[in-house]
Amino acid sequence: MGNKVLGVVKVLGPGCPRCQETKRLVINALAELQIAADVQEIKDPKEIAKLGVMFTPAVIINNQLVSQGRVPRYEEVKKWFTDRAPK
Amino acid sequence: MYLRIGALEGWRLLRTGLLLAFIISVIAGLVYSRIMAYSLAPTLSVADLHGLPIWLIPIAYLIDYFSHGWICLLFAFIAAGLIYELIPKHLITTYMRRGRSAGYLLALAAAPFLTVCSCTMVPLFAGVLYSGAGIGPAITFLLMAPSANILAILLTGDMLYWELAWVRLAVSIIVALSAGIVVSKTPWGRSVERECHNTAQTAVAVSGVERHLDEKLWAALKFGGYLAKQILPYFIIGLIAVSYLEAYLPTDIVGRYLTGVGGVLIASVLGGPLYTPTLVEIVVGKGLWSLGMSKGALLAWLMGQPYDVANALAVSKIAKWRVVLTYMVIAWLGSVVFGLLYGVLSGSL
Repeated sequence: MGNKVLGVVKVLGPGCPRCQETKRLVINALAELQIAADVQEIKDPKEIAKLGVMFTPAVIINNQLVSQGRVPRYEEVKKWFTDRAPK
Repeated sequence: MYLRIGALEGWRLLRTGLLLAFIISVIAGLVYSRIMAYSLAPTLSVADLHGLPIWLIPIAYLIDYFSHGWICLLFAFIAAGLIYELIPKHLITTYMRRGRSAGYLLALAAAPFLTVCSCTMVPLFAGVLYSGAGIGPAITFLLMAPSANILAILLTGDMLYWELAWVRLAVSIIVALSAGIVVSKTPWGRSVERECHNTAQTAVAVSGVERHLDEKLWAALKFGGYLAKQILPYFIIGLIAVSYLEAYLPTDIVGRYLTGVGGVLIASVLGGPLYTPTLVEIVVGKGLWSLGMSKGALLAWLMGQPYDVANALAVSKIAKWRVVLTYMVIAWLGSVVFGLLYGVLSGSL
């Protein structure tokens, strides 16, 4: 329990309500699934651009861009993590 | 098992059908109301407002506007949400990397469809800048999006008049393109571009999850609702302010200052630094216009939207101040020149 570790989860967005919602979904999903991850919130537009993202909110898990320009659904967020977390 | 899958599919189908029906009925409602010139209430004129008690003025004005404006607003927010949601965002990102001319084309073609609040605008600007398309397309995008997005064009056409909406769109294209090209030729523009090129792009793989149509439609409507929640409060405050403006501001003052060459200059200067949230520039423009502002000054006023101070401050964190000043000056000149030109051509300067 609680010892599954996923690498880095980056939530990209300049701090708008939609980005906040996305961050909340990510944190809730990780908590529910009991997966530990390094969640980073990236707010600086320059940093966001350097990651190759134009549409926020966006989520990057271990260098994979899984969603951009929309708030993902909670079920979808959970699936990203269960698919990637070590079994 | 089969039954459960069947039920799920059925629910999907039903949800898709309901969402599509809703969207289509809004479009049909808009078309019908525009063809039949339908309205829930008779339209107020400035003279009607004068006789009302002070507390009733904004209420009467709001009821008057929303009784015929609601369907267009509803349609505009739904359309904005749908297009933003359904537009293939990864394609835009990919094509932006193709280089300069593709970047300009894409900036011009995509900006009208990406209704953006300032919150999405800044990452987009930075994204275009760093994508390899360079500073020119980034500036073009930045100037196009606030003044020529689908929400602004629809509302300009509906609240003011359609000729102005098309003129606004055309002038936005010209001004945005020339500002982009000029900035990309300046030494300071080039140095910003070099800085961005030197920073290595982190390659990010996109692992696409295919979403069902009903999920996309629902997300689109939710985004439209989100936009409405962000924009409508300011829009309503703008309407309330304008109701008092129309009721109490004497027409000869507006007629004196906001007509002629001086009027265009004043309108263009007011339009920029005076930070008006998205769509409010249309409301205020309508108020001033009905009080006697010339058409030329009206266009100059509307064209002030892309170079407002809040936008400039945000951009200055990414690009240099010189870049910001350059594009602001060009956008301002554009608003003056085209304001005058439109004023002369439409016979209302």
